[in-house]
Amino acid sequence: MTPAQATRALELLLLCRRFDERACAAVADGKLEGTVLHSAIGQEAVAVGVALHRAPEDVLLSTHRGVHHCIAWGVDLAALLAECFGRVGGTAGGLAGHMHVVDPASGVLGTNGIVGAGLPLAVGAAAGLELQGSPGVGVAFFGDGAANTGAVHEAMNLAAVWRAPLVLVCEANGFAETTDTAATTGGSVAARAAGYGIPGELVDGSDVEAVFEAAGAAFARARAGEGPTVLECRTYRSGGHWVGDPQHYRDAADAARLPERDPIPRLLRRHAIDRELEVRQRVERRLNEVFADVLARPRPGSLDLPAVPG
Amino acid sequence: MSADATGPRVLKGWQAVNAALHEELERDERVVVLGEDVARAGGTYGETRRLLDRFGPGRVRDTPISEQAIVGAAVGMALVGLRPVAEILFVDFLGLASDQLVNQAAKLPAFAPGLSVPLVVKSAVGTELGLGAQHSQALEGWYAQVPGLAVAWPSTPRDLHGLLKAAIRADGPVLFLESLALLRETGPVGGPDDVVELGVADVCRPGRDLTLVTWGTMRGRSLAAAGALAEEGIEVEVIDLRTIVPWDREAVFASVERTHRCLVVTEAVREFGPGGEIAAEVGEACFDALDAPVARLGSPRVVAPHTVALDRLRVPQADAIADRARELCR
Repeated sequence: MTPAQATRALELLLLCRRFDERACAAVADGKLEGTVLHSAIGQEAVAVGVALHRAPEDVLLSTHRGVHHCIAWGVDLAALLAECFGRVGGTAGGLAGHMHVVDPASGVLGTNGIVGAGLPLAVGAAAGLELQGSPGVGVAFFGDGAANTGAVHEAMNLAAVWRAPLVLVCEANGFAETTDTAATTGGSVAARAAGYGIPGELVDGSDVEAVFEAAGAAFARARAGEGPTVLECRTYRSGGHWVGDPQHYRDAADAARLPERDPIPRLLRRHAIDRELEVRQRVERRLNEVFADVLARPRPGSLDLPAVPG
Repeated sequence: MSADATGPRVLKGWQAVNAALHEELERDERVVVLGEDVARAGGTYGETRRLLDRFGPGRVRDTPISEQAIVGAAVGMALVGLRPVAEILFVDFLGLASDQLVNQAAKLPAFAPGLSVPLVVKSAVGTELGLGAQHSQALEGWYAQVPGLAVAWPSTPRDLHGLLKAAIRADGPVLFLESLALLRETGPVGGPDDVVELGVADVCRPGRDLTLVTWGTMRGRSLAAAGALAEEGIEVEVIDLRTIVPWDREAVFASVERTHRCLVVTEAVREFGPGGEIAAEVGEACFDALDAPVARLGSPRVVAPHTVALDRLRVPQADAIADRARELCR
């Protein structure tokens, strides 16, 4: 990681973290009326380490817990926040919510309310880009819970036989919704890749540099026509399954491990970031503007949905 | 397979589909075909023959037996600008991929203004062919309930050809059903530019006494029933909807206003079936014109048996259709 990349990593990590923290605070403040939100505090290094490789033509398929993916991928922050909080000016006019953020202009083909469902889309998108001569590759995030869905297995196999230019990133946060992954998952997700004849790698998902390095190799393979790669990035979910989840299922010590698993101080220990304070101030200023603007906006009052055939 | 250059083409149903695919792949390089057995094998029913040779492995793709991945990949392709035609061998198997069709394809356009998800899921209905309970269901009603999906079920070679072309050119997801038995029937087919618009019914027999609304496998036997009734002096107007969503309300309502009677004939299970929806709409829109209750005929609520003879006891036949129509005209 060059100093410039480390600085960019810090800025994106902070944008994800502070956006998420402010969003959680706004939920506590009653600003999220009539809908739900998923937080990814602690998991940011996976999104950022991957997104640092993003080229303009690359496309992303994300998950129900995908707001940080969207931030790292470059979705307009105001449009994203407005969609999360159901305000006008959201990516879907505030009608769809954070599980349905689709922003083709920034290459985000969708967060997703169905666990595992984005992977088949990513295979088709990646193959479709290749067919049209685009240099773009597909990236799909999925959780360790999703790793046990049929869609994920079907997609890994199809990606392998089509040699789709695809980077499959398992953001393994230790939970399948509210159940410990150890109770739901046989073997490791990275090892499953070998069953489909594609490379799989276990990565420390709390280390943005480790994710960056592994993702770099995976992007290079995809761009060179060498097919898909599976990265299992073991990370840490600081919060519950949803914002407001009482986490009765979770041991208190586990819920308090953010300081030891936090990717931000870890990056700072390894890299002296030039003008760190300036980066932090820039992030806060930007988020001040976005939150003040968006949370003051009205909510859509009618179902002004795009017309669809059928 | 084409007729002489001066006359209309006369093709079997599968050849009509094959011709439509060749023409659309030729016309628009964004069109791709994917599914089990579609490339090297040329399709289980022959519908994709020679596509691989003509258009290559990038645009004509074999897949594993992975229905979710097939439909999901088609959605992903559509999201990056292609127009995929995904084959799911029998509509019974589409349950395996319903998430991708219902939760992804149908909903994505609502999540981004201006986004279109142009794709066709093409799937067969295997009624009365001895294929058993999991290859014989008419499930158009399941998918007709989903906002964002169009559902077409043509039943002649001409409509198989023309409607498939319309479905491929449509900007949203279309479930395109084919009666497997009808793929072997022969009939005239339009030229490369003849498109049968989605949502336009075919009034395939005019009549003054009763409007019979149907589609798919039931068209042929409904026409047979109408022919038999004509000998008794009962003139049945047969309307083949061809597209179940969106359906041609205008054609049906106009007909019922003239005939004052309506019978909806479906292969689908009658209870909670698509025929009930058509009947209810006719009842509401044409109440003052009706001389009899709007009636439905469909399959009973039973699991399809596996032999042809037994399956014919399940699915409406021409004599049962004629009996019901006759009762309504008394």
